[in-house]
Amino acid sequence: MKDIHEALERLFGVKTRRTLGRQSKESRYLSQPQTPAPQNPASNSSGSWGIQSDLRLLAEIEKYEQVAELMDTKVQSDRGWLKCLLGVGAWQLMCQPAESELSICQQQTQLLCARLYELISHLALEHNQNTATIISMTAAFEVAEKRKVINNPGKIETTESVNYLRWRASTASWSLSLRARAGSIELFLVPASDIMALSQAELPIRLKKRLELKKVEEHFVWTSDSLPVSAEELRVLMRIYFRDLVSATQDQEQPVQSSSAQMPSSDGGRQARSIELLLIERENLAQKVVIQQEEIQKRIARDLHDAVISDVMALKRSLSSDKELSSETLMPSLEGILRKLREICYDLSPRDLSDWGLATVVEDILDQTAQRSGIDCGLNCDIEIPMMPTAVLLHLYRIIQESINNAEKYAEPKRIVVTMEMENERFVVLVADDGKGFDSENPGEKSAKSGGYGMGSLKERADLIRCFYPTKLQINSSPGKGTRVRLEIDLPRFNS
Amino acid sequence: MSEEISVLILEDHQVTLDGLRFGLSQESDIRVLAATANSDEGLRLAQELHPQIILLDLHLPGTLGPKSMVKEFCELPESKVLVFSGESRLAFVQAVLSLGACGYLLKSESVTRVAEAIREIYGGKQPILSESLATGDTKLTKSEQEVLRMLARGMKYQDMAEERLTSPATVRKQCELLLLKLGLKTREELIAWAVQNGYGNLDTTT
Repeated sequence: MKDIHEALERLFGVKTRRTLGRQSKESRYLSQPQTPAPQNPASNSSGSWGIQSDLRLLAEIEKYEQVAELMDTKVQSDRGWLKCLLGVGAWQLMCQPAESELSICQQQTQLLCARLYELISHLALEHNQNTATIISMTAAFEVAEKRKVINNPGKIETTESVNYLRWRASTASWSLSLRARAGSIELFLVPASDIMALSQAELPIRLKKRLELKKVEEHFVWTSDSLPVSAEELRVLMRIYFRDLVSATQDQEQPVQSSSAQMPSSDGGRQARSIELLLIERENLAQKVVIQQEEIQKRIARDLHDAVISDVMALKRSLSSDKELSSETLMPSLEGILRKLREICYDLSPRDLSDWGLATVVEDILDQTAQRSGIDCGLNCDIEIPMMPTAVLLHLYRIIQESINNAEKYAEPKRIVVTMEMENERFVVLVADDGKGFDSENPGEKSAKSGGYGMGSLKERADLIRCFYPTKLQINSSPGKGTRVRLEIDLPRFNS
Repeated sequence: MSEEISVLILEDHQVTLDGLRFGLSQESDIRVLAATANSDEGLRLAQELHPQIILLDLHLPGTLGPKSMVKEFCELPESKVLVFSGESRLAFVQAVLSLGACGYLLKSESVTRVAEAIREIYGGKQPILSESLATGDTKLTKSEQEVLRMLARGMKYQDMAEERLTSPATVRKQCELLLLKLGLKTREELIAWAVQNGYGNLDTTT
């Protein structure tokens, strides 16, 4: 991490020697072609992205830019950051050092602006390695006039000039824009078409975050909604806003992609088509996840309602009756409630899985299934389950559980066998039953009940395991021939 | 027998702990060395005090999960482990016993039974199990009945595995589970039990 203090000092310590033509510098610097030539400071300063064409100031900007270019050759990636420092330096000149407290405020604001700029540039650099989404990063300062109605008898409108320090990161269609003045930093997400008129574009609804510098005892602390924010939180916030920026841009781009998909039989068209399909699939997956969450919540509510609330109510009734109840009569009902609660908890998060490992837990599912249904259930597992991330184990567990449930519910089998084994570096799980089966080639229409829902969620789980390891899921079944769910996970060699 | 059996208790449920402490203090041949609710603390105490028996709850606060905790305690050379838990599902009981625990009692047992089990384990008998685990609630599954039939017909593990399309190790495991369920000790006893209960009768194989 660069020491910003030091860099600032180094920048400000350089003496200026010459002055160059202003106008070209200015437009280049601010990347604002519409800014009129700054002949009249007063008219210009009221604009949104304007600049005070003070001779002294331009000289200073010139000076900073010289230094920046010198340093730039060495540290390419920090170009944007240096640009920001330029803006900071120029801004500092604008703010006359008055009372000490105000100047501390200014300094703190500058530092945080530079730091946030640094964060966002890193994110942009990282992101741009794959796609060139972020097309520009700029930093500048602005003198804006703020109309203010002072609450006096005559309601006289006065104007007050405010110095803003700004930077923004832009994609083709959106801009993440920061506006800062001493002691206050605001972040906006603005459509790129509006950035020419920033002061009008910075509507309250586009405000993402306001950070304020508060004095707590002897120290200044940055706060958000009056709560102090840590450096780590700021990092997370910037990450979130950056993601917002990127996703807002992608949302905008989507229609373009689908329209290009209408061009038939060209390579580009086909690619766009497959991209579109992938996007649709992703959407569907997200949709399914949401639906599943809803289902789960509904089930929790139902379980709690059916199993627990009714029992507790019954208990309450019997306790409030006149009859004295002995603990012997109460215990069984309490134990029942406890058992049901435990079952619900267990179903939500199988703690036993992390406690005892996959083999034991699967054996328990089979035990329970056998007890419940009388089906001959068996586990073949002569290996130590290889080390895998907890998330993978959980999906594995759910796949096995779901397969056993499906078999029990729909297949009417005599026997269910779960096999877990290693084939070289490949971990294989097989759940086989000898039930009535379904047509796995055409899992539509009639077999929808036996295949449909459950098998779909198996596929999703396997997709999620594929985020970790190459994974293959096969579901083989035909009417009368039973069902075989086979999952293969290729583990890296060092793992086994 | 004037010799005292030294016991370390790990239990995080205060009422249960109080009950155990009081109950065991009534037994002249048992001496509770220490008790703790934390598994890390318990391990330290066990290494320091060398108790003959460790009475162990399965779910305790501490850095170890139950499986690794049981394993750690069972690896102590001078102590024997008696697990005392509310967990009654057989897959887990079996997992605990396979880690080397000498006994498994359910929390529904009386202190007198705990004291008795401590004596039995001290005397070298194992595994000591709660009765309800051995015979009570659990009925035999179809696959276990199938195994019993094959045992009663005198089949070897290898042949049974072939017929059941599985591995000998799995069959052996199933037999161990059966021993557990039926409260038996050896394979011979199991075969005898299967024959006595009519599993050798060919008519029952349907």
